[in-house]
Amino acid sequence: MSMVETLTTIGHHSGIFVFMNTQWGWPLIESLHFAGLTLLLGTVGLFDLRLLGLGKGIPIKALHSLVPLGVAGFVLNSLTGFMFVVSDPGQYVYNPAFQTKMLAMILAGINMLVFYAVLAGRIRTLPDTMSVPMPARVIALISLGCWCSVIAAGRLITFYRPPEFWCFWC
Amino acid sequence: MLEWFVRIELSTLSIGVREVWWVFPSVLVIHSLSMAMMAGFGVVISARAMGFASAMPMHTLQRFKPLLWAGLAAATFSGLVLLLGYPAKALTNPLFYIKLLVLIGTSWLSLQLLNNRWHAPTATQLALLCLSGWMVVIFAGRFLAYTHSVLLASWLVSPAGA
Repeated sequence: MSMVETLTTIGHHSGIFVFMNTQWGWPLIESLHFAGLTLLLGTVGLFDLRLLGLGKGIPIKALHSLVPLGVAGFVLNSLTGFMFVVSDPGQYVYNPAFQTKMLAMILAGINMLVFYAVLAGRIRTLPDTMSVPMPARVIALISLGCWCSVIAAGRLITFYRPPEFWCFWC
Repeated sequence: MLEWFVRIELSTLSIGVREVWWVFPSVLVIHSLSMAMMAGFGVVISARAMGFASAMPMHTLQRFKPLLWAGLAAATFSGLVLLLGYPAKALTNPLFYIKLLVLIGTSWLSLQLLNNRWHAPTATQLALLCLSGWMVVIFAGRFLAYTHSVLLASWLVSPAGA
């Protein structure tokens, strides 16, 4: 079974397809998806800006304690995003905007792993007014760029009705 | 009123917004990013006012205040361009006015919370109001694409569109 067929089957068997096609299904889930990205950009985005030096004086550790809110937003968006994809798989898997979005998310994930594995410990103990070391700034810039690309590419998904041969993994 | 919408819709700029292929998508991207930036900061201000991240004094967050202004400027500009493209679509929908009013009120409330105007428990209650305000703006914005009764006024005047 192809990827699109599998996703279609999941959408139909789970009842998600039917729910999404009720009168307010799509706009309701889209609104929740936007609320989730707001949580993510608000917490992770501000943390990135702080590392970049825009909010010097803000205690890094305390600002970082809001990141779980962003993780909650990410979980909400994975669930709502899944609901979109299984309700109209052809619109997503062949779509260069969706492919770009997934790529940017993978990059953001790797970037985050590097941050927590290598740099987070050092950053947490930094005094509030001290400059953040260059490697952490680069990581913050990549993170911010990735999440903004995720939002931008996500918004562009509706502008393509792509042909099947555009999908390089199907 | 309808004639005014038609006049705007048939102007070169309005036609450009609808028909130059890259304009509409770019403007929507700017609108999403700027709204997310404002609402995202608003959520963080509310969370702080509710007592999250209490080790971070509210006045330090004021460093990010330009984000709120930049977001408001970019969202207003992109919103006006969208309005120029489809004036009747938004202006005939009551939800558009609700979004506008709640956006103004919530932006003001976010600024006041950021300026530490109140103490708990008032601050907590107003932070909840602020959070709900941003949610209303987000939901209204998304539902605008699904609740319009008119797309283009010029279609009502002449079905051919001109």
